[in-house]
Amino acid sequence: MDDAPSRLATWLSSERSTPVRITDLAPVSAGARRFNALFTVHEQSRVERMALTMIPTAAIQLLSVTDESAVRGLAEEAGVPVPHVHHVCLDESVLGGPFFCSTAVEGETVPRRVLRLVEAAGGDLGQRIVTQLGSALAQLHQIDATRAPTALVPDSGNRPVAEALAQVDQGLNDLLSASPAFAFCARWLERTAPSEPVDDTIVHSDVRNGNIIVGPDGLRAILDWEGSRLGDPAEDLAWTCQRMWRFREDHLTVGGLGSLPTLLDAYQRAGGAIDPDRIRWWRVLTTVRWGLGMAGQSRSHLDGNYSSIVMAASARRMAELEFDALQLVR
Amino acid sequence: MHQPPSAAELLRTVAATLIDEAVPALTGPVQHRVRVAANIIEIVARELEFGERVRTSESKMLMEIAGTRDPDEVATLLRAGAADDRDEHDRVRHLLTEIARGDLSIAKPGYDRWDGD
Repeated sequence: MDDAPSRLATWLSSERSTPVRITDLAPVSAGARRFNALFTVHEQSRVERMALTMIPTAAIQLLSVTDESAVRGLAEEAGVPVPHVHHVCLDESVLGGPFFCSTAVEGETVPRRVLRLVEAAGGDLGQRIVTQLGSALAQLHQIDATRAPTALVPDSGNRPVAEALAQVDQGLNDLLSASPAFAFCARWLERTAPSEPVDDTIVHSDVRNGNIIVGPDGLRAILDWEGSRLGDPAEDLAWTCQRMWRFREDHLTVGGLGSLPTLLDAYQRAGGAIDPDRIRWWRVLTTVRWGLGMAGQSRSHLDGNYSSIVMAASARRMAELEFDALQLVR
Repeated sequence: MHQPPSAAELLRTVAATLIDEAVPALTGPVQHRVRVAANIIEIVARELEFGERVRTSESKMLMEIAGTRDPDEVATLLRAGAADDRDEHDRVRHLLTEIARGDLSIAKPGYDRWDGD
């Protein structure tokens, strides 16, 4: 993509009906699913830093860039810190895939750097971030879900509990060697399953240390909205607590940053309703699901679908999730 | 019969060379993959050293859980509700945790120092 800056400049110029120049286009991360870059736009004397999010091929997208932008818009309107989306491009010929351009928000995103920043700041920065996360999630969950793009409604309708349980059983069946630990947890999940949520709620599904931008003043933005859908709000709260997002700061349940009571207090103060048993259930569910996903990655390596040393190593990480899940099903 | 170092010791030397010499000379995705490679080598070294002991004790605990050494059978029984009873749940959870600790002693030593919240 050597000519990406000039292609992007041509497209943006026509979007804005005024000539712009692009400089300093640099990739910041390239996952399997998305390509992220930062760049500078020069429009006459005005200079702005922007972020580019491109989906290399629409075939693997969870949400289209149009739907993702719409969700981000709803969240922003509700007061959730989200980088504002300025432009959406569906024409794959411009950069090789659909993309959108949003405001580049300064700050740390890499989890270990986030934790270093918190440590260097001393005081209560970590707890402040967790408080802000709690309020942001409450604001997100209170959005009128009838305004959500239809792509957010799961095929089977909004039955997140049944869907998650079915996914776990599918994952157990797909294992190349049995996991008594996860079979035990699956049974626990089945017999303690909460009722399906009564209301439709937009959830982000991947809020965690690693998908947030943080500065010395606290939480600046929540990123990566491609997994948003209708679901159980308790799942969003539970997911922030996964042990792998703590990066060895195991005593700080929420992303190695702060405590779960801090998150829940802030969530309630911002108008969210919580049910501790439901959150506990989703913590177990998401732990088991992640562990089964690890085994799935190694299967993709073995069957040649996605050969990579990282994927090969994944199955050996399943024991971590078995251990974590077993600690939670007391 | 070969002279020492053992297979595990040789693998540790390979891992140390990757970490001490290759990783600092690399950047980006390749550096990450070489770190993963070193980690895999360390796992295999521990597997060579402790694998047999861990599997033996795992079989014993599976037997204690459900009267069979076959993980498939144990999983099927547990999924069907063999440990639903409160006391049985605690007993089985404890044994499964010990099995996970065995796997972790190979895959990620130290990970089990956590009380679960």
